[in-house]
Amino acid sequence: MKYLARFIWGVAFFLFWQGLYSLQLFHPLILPSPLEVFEKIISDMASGELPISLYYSLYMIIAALVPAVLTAFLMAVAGRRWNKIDQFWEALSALAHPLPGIALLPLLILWTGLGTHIIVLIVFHSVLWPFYINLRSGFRGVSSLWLDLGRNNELQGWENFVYILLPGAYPSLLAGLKISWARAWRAVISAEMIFGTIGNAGGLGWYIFDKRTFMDTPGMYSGILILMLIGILVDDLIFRKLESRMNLRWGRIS
Amino acid sequence: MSLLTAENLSFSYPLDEGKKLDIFHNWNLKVQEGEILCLLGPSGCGKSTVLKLLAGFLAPSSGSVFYRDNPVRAPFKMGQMIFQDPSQLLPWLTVRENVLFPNIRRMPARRRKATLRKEPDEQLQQILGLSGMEEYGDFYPSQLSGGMKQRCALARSLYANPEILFMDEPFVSLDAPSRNSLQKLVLKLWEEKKKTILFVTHDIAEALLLADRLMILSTLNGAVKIQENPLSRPRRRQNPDFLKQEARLYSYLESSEMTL
Repeated sequence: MKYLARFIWGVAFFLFWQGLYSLQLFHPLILPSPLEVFEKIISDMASGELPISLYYSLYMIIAALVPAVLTAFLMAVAGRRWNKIDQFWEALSALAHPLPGIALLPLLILWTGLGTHIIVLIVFHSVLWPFYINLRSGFRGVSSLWLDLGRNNELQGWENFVYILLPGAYPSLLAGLKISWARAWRAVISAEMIFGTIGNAGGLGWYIFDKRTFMDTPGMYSGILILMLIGILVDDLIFRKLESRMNLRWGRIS
Repeated sequence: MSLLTAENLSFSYPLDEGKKLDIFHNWNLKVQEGEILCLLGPSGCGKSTVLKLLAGFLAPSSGSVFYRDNPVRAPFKMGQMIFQDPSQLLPWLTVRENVLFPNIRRMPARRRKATLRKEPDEQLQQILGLSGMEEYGDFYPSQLSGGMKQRCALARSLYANPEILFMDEPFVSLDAPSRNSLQKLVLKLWEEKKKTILFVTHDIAEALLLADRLMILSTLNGAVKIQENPLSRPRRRQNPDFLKQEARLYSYLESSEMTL
């Protein structure tokens, strides 16, 4: 039912688009027909240009997301253990969190030189802070009653972490992961748009930017459509499933 | 040898500007094996604090607590605490998994789920049956009523196979019928399992129904009075003797309140 409604709305959107195109209100170079865009997607998929760009962007995201999540974990755990460290992270995240990763680009080049590691660093920065902040608030939200239960049953430090703290903070952890995933895409696309020419291969950001250079409008649209499609797929196949399972357990309305 | 002993126990909460709020001073208690001791007193008189000190959740300002001659410095598995708040269950585990929690360490992570499904745990089945939870094993805490949650918390503490149950006003948030049935359950468990129970309540009737001995805390920093419960078991609330004792205790608490 949910998918049917979504399908119908999707079809309606493309019909509206096609209608706008047929009215010829806009120049075809500004608004190509959806069919043209689909053709472009299929041909670029076949030529390998899109899959390679997609693979490259995903690779950058994973290469940054995994270490960022691990670092945030270490930070949050250390902060729980030592109050002073928590205060330090708190101050640091207040400073760094509002800072867009792309603003660091010139400085990062100055400090570390040119290379694809720049993109990884920018994504790392964009993911680390929101995930850390969510994780910290998740740990702090773990009820003292649950921790008392651990004390009562003489659990060790690591057992407390695995059996109480981690599952107790799971809702915040999942929310943090969702935000991080979105932030990572934003960061990687903008970094590639500025930076893509210098690396040995461009990602999806570069793909869109490159199409602009040649005034290949259907190409620009197809890049954006692919981005949307990935967003929907990941949300449906991963986050929504995890969330509904959690909501069932925690007695929340999904 | 008594099961749990408190010697010269003092406790005070720190206030602003270095002042302290004394809850009690040089205070002694011997808990006998197998008895139900009710800590009775009005809200805010410090009875939960006493319980937390005896269970090792709080450290006394001076004096010490002994469990079978071992000093109590931290919460211990043989003394299981049941809290007032039904949210003490872990929301991400089913009733069965919650009850199994005290022994979570004995289950290697990979096998935990398999163990839950395949090998019927006799102790678990027995405890779930005793506490009237056998049909709710696969429910999540969010699907249970307040009374059911407290039954589950009770079952969980029993699964640890403790010697002492510390119960901190466990039924205070429940409606009258569930409260009555849970009081009956506590008595049934006590008769079958012969646990020692320390039960905190501000409900005079509840204390009279359950207790072998009553510890009456009247006011902050005030005298603590320990008395035997004169009523013989089984007790009925409508019994004239019961009502007489209830009225007597009520007037005692009221008169001691006047000294505040």
